[in-house]
Amino acid sequence: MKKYILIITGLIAVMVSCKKTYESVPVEAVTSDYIWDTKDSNGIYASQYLFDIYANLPDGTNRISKDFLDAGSDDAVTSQTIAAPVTLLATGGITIFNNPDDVWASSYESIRKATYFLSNFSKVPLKNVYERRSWFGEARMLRAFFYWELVKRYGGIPLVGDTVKSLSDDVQIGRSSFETCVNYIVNECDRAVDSLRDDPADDVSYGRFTKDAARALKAKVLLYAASNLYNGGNTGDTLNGYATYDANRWKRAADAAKILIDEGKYQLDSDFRNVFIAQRSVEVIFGKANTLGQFIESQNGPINFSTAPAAGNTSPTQELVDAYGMANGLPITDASAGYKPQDPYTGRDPRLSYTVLYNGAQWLGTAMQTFNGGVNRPGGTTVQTQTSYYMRKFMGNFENTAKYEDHYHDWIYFRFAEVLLNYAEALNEYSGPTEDVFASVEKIRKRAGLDPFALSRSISKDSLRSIIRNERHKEMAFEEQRYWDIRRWKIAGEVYNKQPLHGMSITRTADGFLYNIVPVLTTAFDEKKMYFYPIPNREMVSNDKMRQNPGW
Amino acid sequence: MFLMLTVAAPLYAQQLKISGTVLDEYGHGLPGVNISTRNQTSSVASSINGQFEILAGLKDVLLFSYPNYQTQSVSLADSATIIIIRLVKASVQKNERTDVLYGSLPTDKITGAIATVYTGQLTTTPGPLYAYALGGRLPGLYSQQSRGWTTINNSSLVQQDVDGLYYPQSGTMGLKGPSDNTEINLRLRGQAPVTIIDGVQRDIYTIDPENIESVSVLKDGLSTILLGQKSSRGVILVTTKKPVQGTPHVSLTAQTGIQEPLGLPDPVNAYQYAYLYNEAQSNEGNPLSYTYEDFAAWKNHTDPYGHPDVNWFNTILKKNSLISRYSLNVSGGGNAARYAVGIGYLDDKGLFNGSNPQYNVNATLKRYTINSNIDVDVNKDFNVRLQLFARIQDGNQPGGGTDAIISQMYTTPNNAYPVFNPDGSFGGTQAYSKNLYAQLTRSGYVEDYTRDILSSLELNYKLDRFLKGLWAKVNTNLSVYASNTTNRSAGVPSFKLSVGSAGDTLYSRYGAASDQLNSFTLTYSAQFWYLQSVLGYTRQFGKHGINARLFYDRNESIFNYDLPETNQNIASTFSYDYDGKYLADLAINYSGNDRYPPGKQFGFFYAAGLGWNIARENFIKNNSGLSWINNLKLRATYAQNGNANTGYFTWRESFRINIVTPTYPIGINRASQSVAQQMLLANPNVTWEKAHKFNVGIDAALFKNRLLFTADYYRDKYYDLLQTRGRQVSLIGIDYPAENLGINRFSGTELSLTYQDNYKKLHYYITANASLENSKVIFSDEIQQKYAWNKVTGQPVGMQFGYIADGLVETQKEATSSPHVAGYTLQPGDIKYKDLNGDGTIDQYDATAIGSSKPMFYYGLSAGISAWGFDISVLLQGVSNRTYMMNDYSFGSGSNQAYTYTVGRWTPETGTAATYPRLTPGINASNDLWSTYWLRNGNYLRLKNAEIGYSLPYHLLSRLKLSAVRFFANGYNLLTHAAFDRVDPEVYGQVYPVQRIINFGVNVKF
Repeated sequence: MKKYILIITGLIAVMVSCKKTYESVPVEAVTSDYIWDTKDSNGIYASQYLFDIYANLPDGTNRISKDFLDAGSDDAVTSQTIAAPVTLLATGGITIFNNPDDVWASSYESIRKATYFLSNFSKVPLKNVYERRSWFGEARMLRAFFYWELVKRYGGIPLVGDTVKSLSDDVQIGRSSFETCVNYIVNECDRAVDSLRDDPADDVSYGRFTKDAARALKAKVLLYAASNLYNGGNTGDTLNGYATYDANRWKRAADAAKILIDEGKYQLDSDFRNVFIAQRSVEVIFGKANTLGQFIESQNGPINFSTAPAAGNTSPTQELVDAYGMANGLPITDASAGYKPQDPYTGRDPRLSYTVLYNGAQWLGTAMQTFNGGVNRPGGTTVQTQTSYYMRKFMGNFENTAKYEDHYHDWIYFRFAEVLLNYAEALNEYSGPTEDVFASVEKIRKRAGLDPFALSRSISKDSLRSIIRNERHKEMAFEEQRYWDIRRWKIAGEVYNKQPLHGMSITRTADGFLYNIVPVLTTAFDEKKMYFYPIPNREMVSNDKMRQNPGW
Repeated sequence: MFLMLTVAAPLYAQQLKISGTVLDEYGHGLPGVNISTRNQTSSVASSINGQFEILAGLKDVLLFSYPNYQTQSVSLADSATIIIIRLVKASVQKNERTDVLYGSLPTDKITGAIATVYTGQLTTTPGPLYAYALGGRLPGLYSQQSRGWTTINNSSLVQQDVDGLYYPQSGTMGLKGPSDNTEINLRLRGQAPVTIIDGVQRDIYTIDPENIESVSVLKDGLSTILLGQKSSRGVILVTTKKPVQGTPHVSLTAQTGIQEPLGLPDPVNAYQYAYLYNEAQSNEGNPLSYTYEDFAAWKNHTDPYGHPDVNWFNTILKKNSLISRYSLNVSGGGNAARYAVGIGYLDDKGLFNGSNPQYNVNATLKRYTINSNIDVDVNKDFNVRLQLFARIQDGNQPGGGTDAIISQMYTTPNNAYPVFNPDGSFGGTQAYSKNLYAQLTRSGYVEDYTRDILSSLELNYKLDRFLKGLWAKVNTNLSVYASNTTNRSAGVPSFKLSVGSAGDTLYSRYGAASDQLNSFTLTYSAQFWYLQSVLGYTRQFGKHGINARLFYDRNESIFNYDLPETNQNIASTFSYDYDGKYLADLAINYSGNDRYPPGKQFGFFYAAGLGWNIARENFIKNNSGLSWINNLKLRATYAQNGNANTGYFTWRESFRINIVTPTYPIGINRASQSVAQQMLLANPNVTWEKAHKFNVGIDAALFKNRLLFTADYYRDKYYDLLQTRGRQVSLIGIDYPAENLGINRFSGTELSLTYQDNYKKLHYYITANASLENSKVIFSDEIQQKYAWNKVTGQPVGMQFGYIADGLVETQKEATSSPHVAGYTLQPGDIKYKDLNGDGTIDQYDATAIGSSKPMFYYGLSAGISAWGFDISVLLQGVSNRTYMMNDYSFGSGSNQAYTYTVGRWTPETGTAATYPRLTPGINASNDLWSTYWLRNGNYLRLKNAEIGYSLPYHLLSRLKLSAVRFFANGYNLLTHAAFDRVDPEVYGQVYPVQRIINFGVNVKF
């Protein structure tokens, strides 16, 4: 009997006292000591942390549930069902509860990460001091970039500062004025410039912030700040702009852009299409690097190519197509331009065919059929173009291939063409039509293949402004420019409310096609409030110091 | 040796000496059966081998009664003097002892709330899980089926599959580890219960019901207190059959059922679909999708390839499928060692219609189980029990995936594509590149395997030699679980037929052909290690009964990549009773879990119970007028319990490194750079959720135990529930963790009533139970809501919020003036919503509680009669005050199918007669909102189960050396009455349908 008792007691003793054979916390979930490793002279995990912030940069490709942001402007409509979230942006459907382009929380996440990096990275003994300085600069620029993402949407926003908040910290922070925010971002750019890498970045650093990337952001911020919406043209609230107009803001913007031009590190790519698909274009100052792929094509390519299946998500509008003039540089409304409404695509600005696929355009070795009932617009329930147009921009040169191939498709934030346009716009506003303005615009028109590209030197400031805006429209379609441009120019009310957006309804007849412009989407814009997004409701009710934008 | 209890009977002239044998269902002698004459003149008890001898009159009737067996009567008309009689188990049992957590207790001494069902009520329900049989059987247990076929986990493990890597969702009531029940949602007093199989915590629902002795629910806080940090959710306690001494008891059952899907919708034909779709397009001012020629082709079926009309429900589903089950159970043994072993086999076939000559493409499920209990008395003090449970489950599904094919079937219109093209290839288009029939028959197959072994060794030692009444028990359990899949699926292209400009035929290919895969992946792995040791002291001092325990257990589990998780309980329980009249229980448990911060892992949990057996008081016992009261007990318990909703080391600030998605590719070669991220903000104060549980109840047995009555009232307050705080300022830049904030209260009343008796040769019973369940959110850390109707606090737990629909807009004038969703132009035929705050816009401020705020009421009624070898039983089950949301508006994502109910849509002609909003293509920003328009009344009553059986008379069988042969037929979901009857009230999503099962079988015992 005793034997059994001994066995039982023994068993219990062994089991209870059995030693831990595992670590008490998971190894794969490391602590911050690993990230800011005081021994690692290569700063491996710190670099991973920095890359994570880079990875958070917004990629505009089909960003808003399968749609480009520009499908919320007058340049395109979604091909998807009518309730696609992006449509809310064009029809005035955003609310304090629902905004498909709400970046409030995600931007502050990235801002936290950058601040965390800036306040801890000094612990890491990174051996290469130039690298080390650059990393600080990059984190600073990333933070400035995400602040800018907020400011252009919401106006002045809370600046969190240089401390990282924890669960028990007070995060009830009020909004700073628009001016303070712009100055903060510009200052951060200035602070970062010196420590950043020289341009162009070396082959292994392509995709990181450089000196000129910081300058380009600064130029853009200043251009926006000088624009009608903010430069004394707002509702009078300093949260959303300057109280009074100051022409010198245009000068600051022009000067900031001019530095980049004078630096001469970047130039226009000779082939417009190459900018978006090249492994490295001479025009690209900074973009979000992407791996090889054909995502653009599979999402936006025309439907019903059996060798190249695609979803056809984006339908460019007639408004965009009409913005492109003729190859002779004249707008289609000009009687002498030679535009024929029943042969609408012949003799147009070459950028039209680089940007939009239209009926009869060559694609994948065949002529596009976007007439009603055509292969690429068959009717039925399939998602297909709503306007007879498909987006072409950013795609590889697949006019004559059998199928899509992988190519580079970085999402470009700053390219030299924009710097030129920024410069031209700011300078024209500040000093009127000067030779510098003409020269900048003509560079764009020349590269585009307009013949003649030269502009008459006798045109007025206002006419030149229209030309610059039109060039910007054509040159930068789908690059998340137009959507913001119509806001900062304060013409959104006019653009959205004047008339519905249009598409083409094409009927095949025995001897050709019949082109008929039809409305596709009625847009709306409440000028009293919609120039700024509403602060999300959750933020309003959680932060006592938060103030809502006017009208919301 | 015959025991003559009453010999006071006067001797009649015609007095006969009757002798015979009483047998149990296995034909073994049943000792202790009371045999009496009808007028109670004499009565005897059967001997150890069931034999008896009694004196009775010539025309007398003998009554055979035995606890938990049906009383039988035999008329002595045929002047036979030797009787062999077989007793049959009663349908409703009331046992002397009741299974409780880690043991059993005399039923009279229990102060907690426990309800039990036994084998007899479980085996009547055909189905792949025993959980199918629980609905409506037990007060306090609510069951709802959510799908008709098991869910297969096909995805291979990745490192991120750490269980609970992120915080558990607020109010997760959580399963942890693998569960084989993906079909039936069970809620015990509103909580997801912990399942304990023979004293070991495992979520196993696939044990053969024949092998189960009983299933109990432990509802109060005292009954579960030994689970410590896991004790607040209630327990489903499954006890498998224990060995019975004697010659082998063999029971063999074979049964086959026919399954038929219920609640499938009725799609419209292609012509109607095209018509409706065109109408939707024109409602939105879009160009029409189909032409007049298209309509003609669909209407006249002139172009089956270009204009197909395929009802996919009929094409890929069969009308019915088979489910077969076989089980063999053997039990027996001698004084020293006893055994109970069972083997089970299940073969469940899916509904798919289609075949491939090379492999099985149907969904099938084959399950093999072995359960064995060995019970050895090493000596008179030492008992060893060994249990082994093993299970192999082999599933098969078509390469397209069972769930994917089913949901695709719901969303593919009749006109999408033909099954085959004229050249025999599969039809398809760009939008429908996966041909459903090809997905089923030519896409290979995916097999899944699950292996389970659960082994327990229990040592019981009586230590009377040291101290009378002292005993010790050690129980260890090792179990493993692994599931794998072998993926042999293949990609099959489809082709669209078109006619070229020259009139030539053109086939365009969609979807890529790919070779059949052969990949093997581990999909889940778990192992469990459990040790329990108890030192107990059970002794009676005169009228003072004492039962005390020192308890320790340790449960270590490893899931996939997780670090092991260890739960430990150091507990002590103490029960005292005075003369069985006054009962008192006390328990305390120091319980810990190592997923909590060091130093904050253990906490105290306690419980107390009181009971009063009124029927044992002299004023009842000695009062002949009250002799109809056999048992009357008042009881109450109070406990503080816990729920370890731990997450995975969420108290610790941590980072993940080397993450490859997302990535940032830099350099001109776009070299991928892995990234490092901080996980959620750490909550260093995280602790277990807690509950105060109070239960008071009454048990009564009246009229010679014929009428049983139990009533319970409970009030459970759950607090420190994990939820994220309401005021979350995004400026902090990281997601807030769950914190111990929420408070919910569940309270309710449960009743059960049983009556069973004999009428002449007829044995009958009726048992009913009803549960009324109230819940209320006492505190939820909401943001300050602008309007009272937006508040969750104060509403029932899980209340559905949405808009109040106010019919459909009828006129353009109404459309212009009615409040609408921002950015949406209201049109006639759209749903009109109530603008609660009157600001002209429909937004979240107008959302309010729209579900039922009345307490949920669920009930079951089971009744049966048996006589002359026949037995019939039925189970009715129902629920009231239930609502559910089923938004099946229009064409969904732009390609959805239309069904016959869609035809009732609003048009200017239908006006107010419309039963459905106007049609629009795709998701509609207004009509798709969750509103009362789509809120369905979830009340239903169904004939959940019925059985009819016939047992062959014993005198026929004895020649065959069999003791019992019973033929039976039973069914599941036989009839349903639902308040909303367009769909099945339980399974209404686009999932594998719920089934009606009609099952036939035979049971042989010897």
